[in-house]
Amino acid sequence: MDRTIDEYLLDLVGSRADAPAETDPFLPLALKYGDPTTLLIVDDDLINRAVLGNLFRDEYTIQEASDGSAALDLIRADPGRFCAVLLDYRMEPMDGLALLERLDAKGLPRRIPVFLISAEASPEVMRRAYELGVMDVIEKPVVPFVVTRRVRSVIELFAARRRLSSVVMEQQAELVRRAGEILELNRGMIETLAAAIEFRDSESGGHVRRIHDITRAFLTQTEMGDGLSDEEVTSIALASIMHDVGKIGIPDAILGKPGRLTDEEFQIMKSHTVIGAEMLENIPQMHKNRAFDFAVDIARHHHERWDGRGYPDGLIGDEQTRWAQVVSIADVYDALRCKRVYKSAIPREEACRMIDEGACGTFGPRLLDAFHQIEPQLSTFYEQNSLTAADTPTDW
Amino acid sequence: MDRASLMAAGMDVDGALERLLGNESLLNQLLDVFMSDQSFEKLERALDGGDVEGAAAAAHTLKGVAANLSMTRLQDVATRMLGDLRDGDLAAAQALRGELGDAYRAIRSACESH
Repeated sequence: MDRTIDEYLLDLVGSRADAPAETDPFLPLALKYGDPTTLLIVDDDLINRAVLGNLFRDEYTIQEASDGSAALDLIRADPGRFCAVLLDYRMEPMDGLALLERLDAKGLPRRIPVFLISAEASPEVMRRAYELGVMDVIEKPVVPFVVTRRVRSVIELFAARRRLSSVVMEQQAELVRRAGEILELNRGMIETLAAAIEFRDSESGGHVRRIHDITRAFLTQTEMGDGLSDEEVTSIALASIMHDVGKIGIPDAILGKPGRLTDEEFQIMKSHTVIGAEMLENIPQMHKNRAFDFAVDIARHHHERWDGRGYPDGLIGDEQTRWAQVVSIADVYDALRCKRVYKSAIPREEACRMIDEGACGTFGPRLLDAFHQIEPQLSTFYEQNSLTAADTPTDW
Repeated sequence: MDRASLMAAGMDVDGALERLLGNESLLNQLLDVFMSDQSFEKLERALDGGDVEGAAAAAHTLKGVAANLSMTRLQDVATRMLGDLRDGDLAAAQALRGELGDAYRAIRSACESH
């Protein structure tokens, strides 16, 4: 009950902006040029280098370095080239662990498997090596099939991880793209359906858009929107579109009646609030989605009044939520400023006066302040010639 | 390569070849490298000068070379001497010089004739 549509879908596919945290930065290169094939052997002893090199010469390109800084330079120059590093422990002046620390500082042991070769690895040395990200500690003098198997297995593991990572990345990109499409579809559908329902009594879909825009203006530019996140504001604006969906349950004869409604007809008309709220509540997806929470509230309570004489629940003052208050005044303002089947358009000074004097419902002082603050801007929605309800849509 | 004389001098030739995946020409090359290795000389000088640390370093290198080439007799003495040196026991290390020298010279002459 605590997420907007957008949040829900974005949770599903992960963040749009960031690549997955574990992505191998060499991945694009590896995929483009194939997996790296050079094995780096770092040992100050020629014979050691020769023995190790001989083990792997058939499968990999061998590169040798006789000290730690030469090795560091080679790795830094082109890290994506190396499929593994075999590192002797005892070297001067920089021993294997010191080199490892430098590599670990750059996160390299996670990208390139490093193996420590040692004649006498004490438990402390081994523990420290593993802490720094070494994949395996191999004893000297080396037993050939042991070394080759252990090193090859890890090289293959890293290659497989890269491939998996790339597949995951592609799928994620695809999911994000589709989520974006669904979000657009959602908004389009909600707007279209709400407009279709409005159509029966207001001759066009312009009303629905204007309610959205007015609601949004209140929430982004006045204190009525205090404490609301951008996501919440978007959700409420979206929800405001559906404030009158309950009208679908009201007979044409009543909805379209040009004259005054009888008491009985008015009772039926009033029920569009309750009908709308129930309809929205019955949507199964609603329960995961805060936009619909707002929508149920707004549908039910956009005809309440500050003085408690509204319907259906007779809420008093701030019992009516801020967003329902905003939609209620937006609804009134739009009805006044537009030509309707039962009246002509009312100019802004008179509309403001009627609102202030409570001619069409009463509003709280904070809401009225906010209204006056943005009314000049709201008025621009109506200013192109004298608008009927059939009018130019604002920019969405 | 004269396997018999190398083996008589305390080298596990088959073990060495196995480590080198049977690459005999590489073994020959590495025996040549061994011949120009200076660790033994460095060790002797360090022991003469009472330099325990220097001796330990040289002994360690010598041990490593011997181990790589499966020169087991030489490796064994070098390991013992290294242990003494690391314990700081110069006297015990000095006592092993004879044995070490014998093993070293034996394997060298077997290498020369290969």
